[in-house]
Order: sequence, then structure tokens, then C-alpha cells
Amino acid sequence: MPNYVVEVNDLHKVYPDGKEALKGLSFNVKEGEIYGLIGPNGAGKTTTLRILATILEPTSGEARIYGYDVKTQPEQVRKHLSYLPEEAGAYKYLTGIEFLEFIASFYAKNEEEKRRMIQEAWKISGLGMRIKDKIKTYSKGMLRRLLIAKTLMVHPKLAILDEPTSGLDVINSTRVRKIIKKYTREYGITVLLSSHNMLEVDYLCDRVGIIHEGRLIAEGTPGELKKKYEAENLEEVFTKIVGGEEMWEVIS
Amino acid sequence: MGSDFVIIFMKEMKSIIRDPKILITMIIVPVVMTSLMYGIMGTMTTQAVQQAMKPGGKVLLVDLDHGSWAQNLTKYLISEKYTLIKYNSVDEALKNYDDALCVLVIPKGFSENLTRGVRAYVQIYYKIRGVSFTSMMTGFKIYGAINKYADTISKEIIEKAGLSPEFVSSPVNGTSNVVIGNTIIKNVDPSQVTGPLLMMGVFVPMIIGLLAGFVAQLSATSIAVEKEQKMLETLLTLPLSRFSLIAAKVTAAFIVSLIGGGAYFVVLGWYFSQVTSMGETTSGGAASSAVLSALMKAVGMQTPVALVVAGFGTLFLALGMALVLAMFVDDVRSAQIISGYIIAPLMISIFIGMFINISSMPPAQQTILAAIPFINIVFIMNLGLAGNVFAELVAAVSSWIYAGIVLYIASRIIGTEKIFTMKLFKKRAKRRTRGFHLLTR
Ligand SMILES: Nc1ncnc2c1ncn2[C@@H]1O[C@H](COP(=O)(O)OP(=O)(O)O)[C@@H](O)[C@H]1O
Ligand SMILES: [Mg+2]
Repeated sequence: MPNYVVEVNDLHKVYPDGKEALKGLSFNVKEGEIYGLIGPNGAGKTTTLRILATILEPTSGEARIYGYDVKTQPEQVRKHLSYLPEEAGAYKYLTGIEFLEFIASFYAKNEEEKRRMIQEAWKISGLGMRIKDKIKTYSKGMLRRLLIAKTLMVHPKLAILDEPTSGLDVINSTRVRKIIKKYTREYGITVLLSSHNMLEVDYLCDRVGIIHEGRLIAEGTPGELKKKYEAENLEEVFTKIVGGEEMWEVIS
Repeated sequence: MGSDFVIIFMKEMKSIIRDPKILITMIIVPVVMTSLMYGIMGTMTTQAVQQAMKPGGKVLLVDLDHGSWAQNLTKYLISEKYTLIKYNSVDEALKNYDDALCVLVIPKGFSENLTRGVRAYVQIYYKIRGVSFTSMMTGFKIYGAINKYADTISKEIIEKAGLSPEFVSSPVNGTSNVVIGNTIIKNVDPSQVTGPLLMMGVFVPMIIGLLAGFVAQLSATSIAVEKEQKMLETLLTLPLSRFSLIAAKVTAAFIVSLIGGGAYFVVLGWYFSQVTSMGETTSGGAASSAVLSALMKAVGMQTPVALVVAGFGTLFLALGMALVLAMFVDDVRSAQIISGYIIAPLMISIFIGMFINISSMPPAQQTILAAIPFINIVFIMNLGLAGNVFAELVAAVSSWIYAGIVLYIASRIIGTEKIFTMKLFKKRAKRRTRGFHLLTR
């Protein structure tokens, strides 16, 4: 059995209101790769990532991180991952540096490591001296960069990033993408991210899984997928698999 | 584990101190408002009492008698440090009333009556110029002075007649003894005993109620803050257990509540002591420790213990309820509204409890009432007096059972995904729109 960082097997999730968000999802993430879950809004990306991050419980099926079951060994799982939620915030009345210190305190084994984390996060965030200001004064882009920095500074074995660039302008998105690519390679962090932006995934990911209505409908490297479906980009891949109707739904 | 606790605790303290929304609504408003209220009331009453106790003041005298006894009375009042201003008629005096205590009229025939051994009268006019505690109390001073003067004369008259003034003024006198339970306390006034009783039966439950309200509000708020600042999801994935997370937050809430409650305790205690000491002379002192030990004997040592145990049970019950309710709300404002749903019934229960005369009920009924949460902390004192130890036990134990049940429910929510999904329930159901964002990037 190959050593997967993430193993998801026939995952189902039914919300208390009866909504079936995942209908038998399966995929694996290998050590050191950047894996992208892509799909339209409501496909089930966030649900999947929340299950892996031990926030939600799967209704059935199995999900493991480094072999630890998310349902039965959540505390073991949490030791291996660092998670950036889709709609994350930070304590508005702390300064950037205080917030980083707060997060680092849970992961660092000693003061030295904590200092290292904070220093690194400061660099990753690119916030300069603004790091000493209260978070409530930050722009959306600054906040997101701070949050990416707090997620990566702890050098997790697995970073889970839910829509890392959602809601950011082009400049900030590009910046965030570059940060992710650079630092995860540098520190050998395995990444599982989600996005509804197919071009972003094309740029960032080693492998992608296309998720649609709670199921994985295609998987492979961006190159493989484009070749297989004779498409120029991943957007085209998606439309070819799902069919044109969905496009019309939105445009009309 | 210990260090995780400290990290969260420090963060809580920082945000409580820095977030004006939390600071103002949770600490400054309640503490300052009540301190101010009690402070003002306290100083007002003490001032009023001091004013009233202080001899002297301006008295407008209308002497229509001009006799020797009238002069005698006038001299007496001057010796008592009253300033007398003479007028010829009541009308004239009233016109010039100003800040006088009263108008004192010595009618014609005053001296003649006294000389003949017939009762004589003086008339006192008070002018009410507003509703002030001080003016009400000081006005009556002169009445006391006249009575004292009358006493002095009667003593002289009786002595002249060769009798003992003490004997004549009160040939029969009662000394009061108080019985509580099986204990008799000799030579004390009932008011000396009801003081400490009220303290345990009313003051302590009130403080517990206040503390419980504080704890409920603070812990609900501290959970809501995480949701409002969109930190809950991040917190839940940090490498620490949910229980130490919640425990740290709750402890922070408890400590802040204790500080707040302590402030109330000091202020309220001071206020109570001001109010209760104003009527009494300092005869208490030595007697009160005897009263206290007799009281302890009467209610039994188990009563204060039961009160403390039930008190903490009540605190945890309020805490558990606040935690459960806090799961349903997303922001601080709603959390504070929702904690009102706990605080209001709590306070009303305590208030109602004070009007229920549980000691006159049959034991079975007492025991049933002792199982009602919140109210039972008010009952414990009276149950102790009634000697119903079993009911006291029921009150103490039941508080913890309720707390246990509610905290168990809270832990079932915290320990599962419900801590997260309960809030999303309504919002998500409405928002279940599906869009296809191929065109955005
Ligand atoms: N707490 C919830 N309760 C009920 N339905 C939910 C909840 N969260 C998400 N859903 C539904 O589950 C589906 C998948 O949602 P989600 O995982 O957020 O999709 P994505 O992240 O891919 O946009 C959607 O139809 C969404 O409306
Ligand atoms: Mg999502």
C-alpha cells in the first residue's frame, strides 16, 4: 500500500437538514504534492475539507490523514495538519504579531521554535511594519496573507487551504498563489486546496480532482486532463465532462 | 495542556480588555452602574442619617407665652445647639422659612400650665419643600429634642415628689429574648438576629444569582466572539482538545465573573452595612458574635455548606445553559440577548423565592420545593431553620444534578460537529443557491 498523506474512500455526508453534500467521494493525496479539488460552488469542496480537518463528521465512508481516522482519532489528525478555512477571520483586537504568536504557541515546542515561526510568517505575509497594527485595520488582502502565513509557518505535514484566493483582487490573488507555491515547495509541505477557479489550479497544482455534486468526476495532472479531453484549459475540461447545460443555467 | 490553557486564557483577557464591545457591555456598564447606584444611595442615606443625628439647626421660634418655662425651654434648645430665630406670628415665620428645620410655637399659657401641673403643649410646623430623604429625617429632630426636654422635666418633678424616675417612667419593662430552633438567645433584640439571617437568606443568594448571571453572559459571549470573528473553525482544528479549549474559555469567564461579583460583593456589603448600622447604636459588637454562634447552632453547620454547594451547582447550571444557548448564535449581540433568557428567570426565581414562606409548609412540600433549580438557593436558610436537613440535601444535590445534565448536553454539542453545524443550520438552508463560477476568476 503506497503511503498517502490523505486517503478518502467512498465518503458520504448528509447534513442534518437532509442535504446530501457528498455522495461517495474518493481520492488520495501523495506526500509532497499540491492537490487541488476543483468544482463549482456547492460541489462539496468545503464539506470535504471540513471533514478532513475534523470539524465535521462523515456520515459514512472513510477519511484518513497519515493513517489516522478523522472520525475516531481526530486529535492525532489535528497534530498533522494546518487548516485555512474559506471564510476565516482573526481576532480583530490583536495585532498581526500577537495573532501569529497565539497560533504559534499551540504548535511550537519551545520559545526558539515559536520565534522562528513568527519570523517566517512575518516574511511570508509581506506585511512589513503593519504586522504591529491591530488586525481590524487590515484590508481583505492583508488579512488573507496573514492567514496563509499562520497556516504555513507551523510547517505542517499537510496544509488544507479552502479557496485560498477567494474574494481577493488579481494582485492579491497572484501574490497569494506565489506564496503558496514557493513556501510549500521550500518546506516540503503537502497541500490539499480547493478552488472554483480552474486557472488558479492549473498554475498551482500537481494533480487535480474535479468534484461535481458530491462526486469525483475526473482526476489527474492538469496536463493529463487537458490532453484526455482535448481541451485548452481546465475550464474546458469541466464543461466537456459535465455538458453545456450548466453553463446555460448561469448565463441565462 | 497547562500551557494551552494559559495561551487561551491570556488571549481571552486581551480581547476582553481591548474589545470595547465586550468591555463596555460586560464589565464597565454593570460594575460602574451598580457601584454608582449603590454608592449614591449609600452616601445619600448616610449623609441623611448623619444630618439627622447631628444636633442643632435653625429653628424659627414663635413665643406667644413669654413665661418662665418658655424661657427654660428656649435655653434648653440653645444648649442643644439649636439656633433660634424669633418671630411674632406663625405666618411671619413660615414666610421666612428658608432652610429652617421647623417652626416651633409655644402657645399662650404654656408656663402657666406647667406651673399648675397640667400638661402643656408646643406646636411644630414642618414645611415640605421636596422629596428628599435628608429633609424628611432632619425635620423630625426637633420632635426628639422636645421629648428629651419633657423627660428631663418629668425626672425633676418625680424626684421632687420623692419617687424613682426610672420606676415611674416604666414600672414594667420587658427584656427580649429570641428563640431560633431550639436555641434561646437572651437579651437580644429580634432585629439583631434577623440581620445575619437576612445576610444568609437574601444577600448570599443574591450574590450567587449575580455571579451566575455574569458567568452565563461572559461564557456565552466568549463563544460568540469566536464565531463573530470567524475564528471557530480555525480553533477547532488547532492541536488541542475541544474540552481544554472550552474549559479555558469558561475559566476565563469564571475568573472575570468572580472579579465582577467580588466588586458587587464589596459594594453591596458596604451598602448593607451602611443601611443596617444607621438605626442601631453600637450595642451590638460582643452580642453579635454570640448571636452568630447561636444562629449557627440553630440552622446547623450543614446549612452554610449546603448553601455553598447549591450555589456552585447553580453557577454551573447557568454556565451549562449559557453554553448550550450560545451554540445557536453567531454574534456577540445575540449572545447577550440570549443570556438574558437565563438571567431574567434566574433573578425572578430568586426574587419570588424570597416571598415564599417555606418554613411554614409541611416537610414533604418543603422537600419538593427544594428541588426547584435557582429558587432553592433562597430556601436553604429557611430549611435550615425548619430543621429539614433532608430538603437541604435535596437542594444541594439537585442543583448539581441539573448542572450535570445541562453540562452533559453542552458537552454532547461541543464534542461533536454540532458545535459547528448548529449555527449554520438556518443560514445555509436559505443560501442553497448553486452558481457556476466558470466565468469568474
Ligand atoms: N451546514 C450545512 N447544512 C446544510 N447544507 C449544507 C451545509 N453546508 C453546506 N451545505 C450544502 O452542501 C453542499 C456542498 O456545500 P460546500 O461543501 O460548501 O460546497 P463548495 O465548498 O464546493 O462550494 C451545498 O449544496 C451546500 O448548500
Ligand atoms: Mg466552499
